[in-house]
Amino acid sequence: MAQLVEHHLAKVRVAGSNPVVRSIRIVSRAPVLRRLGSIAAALVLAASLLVACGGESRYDVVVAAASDTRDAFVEIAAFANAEFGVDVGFVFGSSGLLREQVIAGAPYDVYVSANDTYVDHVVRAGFGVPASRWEFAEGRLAVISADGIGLPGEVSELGASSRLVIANPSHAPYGVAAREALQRLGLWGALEQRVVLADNVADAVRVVRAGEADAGIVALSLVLDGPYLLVDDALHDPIRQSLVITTHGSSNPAARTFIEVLGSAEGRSILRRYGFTVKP
Amino acid sequence: MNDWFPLWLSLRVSIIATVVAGVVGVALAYLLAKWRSRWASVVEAVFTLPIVLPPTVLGYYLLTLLGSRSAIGGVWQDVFGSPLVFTQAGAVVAATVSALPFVIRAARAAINNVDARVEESARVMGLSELRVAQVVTLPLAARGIGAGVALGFARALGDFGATVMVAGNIPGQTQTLPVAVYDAVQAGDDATARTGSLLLGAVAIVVLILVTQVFARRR
Repeated sequence: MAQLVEHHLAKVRVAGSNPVVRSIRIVSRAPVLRRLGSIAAALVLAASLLVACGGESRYDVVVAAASDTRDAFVEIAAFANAEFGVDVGFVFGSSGLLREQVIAGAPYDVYVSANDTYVDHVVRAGFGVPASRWEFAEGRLAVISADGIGLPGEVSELGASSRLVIANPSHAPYGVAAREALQRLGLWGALEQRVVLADNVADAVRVVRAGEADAGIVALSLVLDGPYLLVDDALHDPIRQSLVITTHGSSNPAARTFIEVLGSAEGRSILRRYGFTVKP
Repeated sequence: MNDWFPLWLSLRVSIIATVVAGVVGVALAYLLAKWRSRWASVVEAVFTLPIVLPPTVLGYYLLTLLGSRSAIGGVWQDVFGSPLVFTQAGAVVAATVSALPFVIRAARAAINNVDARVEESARVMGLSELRVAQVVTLPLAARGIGAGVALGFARALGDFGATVMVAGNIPGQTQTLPVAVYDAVQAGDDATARTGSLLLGAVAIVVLILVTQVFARRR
């Protein structure tokens, strides 16, 4: 039956003037569909090939780390690679964001937070190996200012800045510490409306460097390559850099290697060089 | 840029997503175009949401819907042994959902524009509905569908907000090119950010030229 209809269509296609046929001429566009069909087939083939190949991690260990550790950890990872042949991949972000991802089941082997309470949350939620919990350093706050705007002589002079950036205190420990310092100096009330909240402390540095804010209260570990003003650590609670091996990484030997390198003499000296306080 | 993984991953994810969105989208568009009910516009509105929702909100919906603690995420984990979120499969889902409305809208408009009398003539000649769709409706709508698929591909390639929430930002695993650009900006790595942005910009321009020159040409 279908064949018969096709036959009819073919015949109609030839006759041009028949009114019914004028519309049927469209059938001659079928090649467009056929071409699309082969393009689609090629795409499906390409897609299935793509699905078939790859997917596993290229790194021996994936470390989700608070963004203040970026510069120091990149150097420590290079050392771990040179000494032990371990390839470390990093996911940097605010401690709070990374905590949420760990608890949502993200495949990170080690979780590094800029405070200790988030590590407790991860352990309590059942996503961290309690025995691996370790407070490895303390971070410091520093003030930086945009190009062309001089550094303040004292932190209290920040009250004069028209736009000040800090990390978002709702999920970034350096933001909490920066807010505390401003509160203890009695500046928070006046400054609050002029404070810009960055996603994380590395983003706060970027905002100042891009000139989008006069000044920022950020992590010392990210700004040692330029002028900065150290913030007295009596102005805020300690910024306790802590880590834990996640349940996902509990059987990954490279996770332990990374932590051992971090605690080695070389690892500690790198941390110190980036302004972290490391207990002797 | 010394690491090309994000580019390959982006191409891979967006091609797979485009194929899925193309097949599902054209089928849905056909049904929506033929479905004479006011519910059709409600369904279309729901499938169009990804265009108008902030990508982060879309990502949050997906994370809630597909996360390890959700029903779908749980079934996925039982079947495949690993979670759907924070994987490349998660990135494909995010890209597919972002691309789908572009395919549906363009395809539905193109299918609606097909002269109903032509389809009627084919029916009168005894063709089944499926055959009418195959030899009359879809070939006539091919250009519009092609434009929608091309736009969907561009959207899938460029997705950031939904991808970063559903698939995360894991280098060597789920870090697509837009996510790598974001990461490079955060790291102050201007060279990588610049290369990635130029690449994405170039692909977008090629796709848009394709859409206007090839697919949208007047019949």
